[in-house]
Amino acid sequence: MKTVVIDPVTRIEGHAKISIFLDEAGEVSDARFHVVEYRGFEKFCEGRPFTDMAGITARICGICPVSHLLASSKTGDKILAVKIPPAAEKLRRLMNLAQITQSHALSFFHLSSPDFLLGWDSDPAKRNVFGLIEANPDLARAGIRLRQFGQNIIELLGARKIHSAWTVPGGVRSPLSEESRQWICDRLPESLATINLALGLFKGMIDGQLKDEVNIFGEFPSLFMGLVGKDGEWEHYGGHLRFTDSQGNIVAENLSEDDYQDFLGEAVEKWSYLKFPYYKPLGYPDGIYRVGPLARLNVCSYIGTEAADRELNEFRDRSGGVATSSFLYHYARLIEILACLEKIQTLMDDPDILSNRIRAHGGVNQLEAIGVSEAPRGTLFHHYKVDENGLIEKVNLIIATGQNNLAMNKTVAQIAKQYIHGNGNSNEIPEGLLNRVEAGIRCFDPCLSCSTHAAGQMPLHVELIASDGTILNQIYRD
Amino acid sequence: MNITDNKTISYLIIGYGNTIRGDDGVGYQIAEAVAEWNLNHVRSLAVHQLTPDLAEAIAQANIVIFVDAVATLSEVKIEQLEPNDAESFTGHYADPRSLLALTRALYKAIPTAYRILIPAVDFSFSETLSPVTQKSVDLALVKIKRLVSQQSSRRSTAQGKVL
Repeated sequence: MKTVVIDPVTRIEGHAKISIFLDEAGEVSDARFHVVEYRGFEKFCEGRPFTDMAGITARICGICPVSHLLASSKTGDKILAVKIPPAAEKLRRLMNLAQITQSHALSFFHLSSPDFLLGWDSDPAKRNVFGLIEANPDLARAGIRLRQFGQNIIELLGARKIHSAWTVPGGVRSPLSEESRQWICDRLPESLATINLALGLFKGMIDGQLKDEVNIFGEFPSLFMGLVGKDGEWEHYGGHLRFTDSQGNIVAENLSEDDYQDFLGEAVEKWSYLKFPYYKPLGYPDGIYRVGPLARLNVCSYIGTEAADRELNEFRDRSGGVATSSFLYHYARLIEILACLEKIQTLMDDPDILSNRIRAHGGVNQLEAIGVSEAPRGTLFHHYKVDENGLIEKVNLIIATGQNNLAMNKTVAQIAKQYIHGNGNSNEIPEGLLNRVEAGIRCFDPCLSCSTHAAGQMPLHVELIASDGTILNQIYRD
Repeated sequence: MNITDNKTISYLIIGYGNTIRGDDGVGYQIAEAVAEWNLNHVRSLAVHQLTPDLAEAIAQANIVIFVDAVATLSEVKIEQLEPNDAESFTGHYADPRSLLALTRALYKAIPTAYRILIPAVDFSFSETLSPVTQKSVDLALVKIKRLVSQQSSRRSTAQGKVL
């Protein structure tokens, strides 16, 4: 058996290694997506006050710290047993909408669009944001400004773009000013124009040069999970959990995050630090499910804003009802950005958004609590047990990217089987093939820093290994 | 946050670093201190890391000064920077030279750029600076004050013309 190793995967957050196992005929027999980082947040938080957890867990990642701030604060709300003021919830929602916008913009414009616009087989030295600038400078500028829009809203609310300490158990620390509200309103039209441009461009590409990728990059049935509102509307902050299947049937709904252990299991494999969550009633690994933009659009009944619902209907028409191709995560991200921008507009028109009633206070009234929020990459759970003084006794974090672990493995195997074949005595690994496998992972926009609660740099090394252990070829990447 | 869309500024200070990793946060702290001077011709940004969206702010500045901690120095150092030619950085963070290269590519602007490097010895989990780094902060602020007090500024286009 031969092994092809891609290490690390480029243009994703954090580092990972992909091993592709070949049989004696050089055909792909299996693939594994290893995560080789470990940090141990769940352990070193023990003994810390639960009020510190938002700030600590936000530092898991520099891309989606807001997600942890919100999930942690919601958990803290429950420990205090308080209902936060309506304005505080609206402000938290505003921050999450901005977070989703900036994260999805980063994923599409910086990490993925170089592949779409320049081609999988183009020069890797150019297949990055600089190549994008050369190919389409207006799109590149617009994409950077769209991300900046989301980042700036986060900074306007929390005084910092990254690791803001603004959301706290009980509410938020400071209100939104009229000056900030006006700035957001002034920049919305440009942001809407950018996302409509990107949607038009991407739809054209999946009708054309990316048609095959839709069928090959992670096209398989699975369950989908996400938050929905009381009428089934698209949710990102509150509501309840819903599972649907690849035919669009609701498998389970009105599930509370408080009972997550009843319906979510976490398996562990020896070859990865990333856990393998699965839907418990179906067991492991049959209980494979996906979270994130694709899942949220599949599980919701509607979005609730005009343009985004129009795009959602077209998305469903194009997918035959339920989008099962992981490649369509990119499309789903763009629709979610549109939804976020429209919902931000709605919040800006709500006079309550400027309210000063933004925090409730309480003591330690519950010793165990679970908070949930939709991070850009999917559903995020924070589960804390505390003592009478509010000091953490136990923590469990279920991260979005981790819940896509089974699906990422399946995607890698599918792509590898399509593009990597035995080719006699040649040990060459064409760049384009490797990039397609990595790109399959990028569909999920995984954040490995987050999902292993990890940080750190890994050396870059790709090995092609013969069945007898001989290294046939090596590739190094910076 | 000062909202300064489309406003040209003489000096842009970008201090960056992780404020809970001891001396790594010195750039951030220095940028915050400069912001408190409230000088009309100076914009100061304290950021966790350098990100592509900073290119727009850089393009609006005549002179940009980066401030960062470095482990291998014994004293504060100022160096002039040019955009690099490598033209690459990871998706969301960059070094000053590649950020300058991105600014050139996106906006056809190359402001004069400097980097002020602050000696750092302790990068452990902490929100305080080591005595070595703390001692350098005042000197760095004096150097920045001197730089931003200069009346003349030069700005060149991507074609090398001086405006």
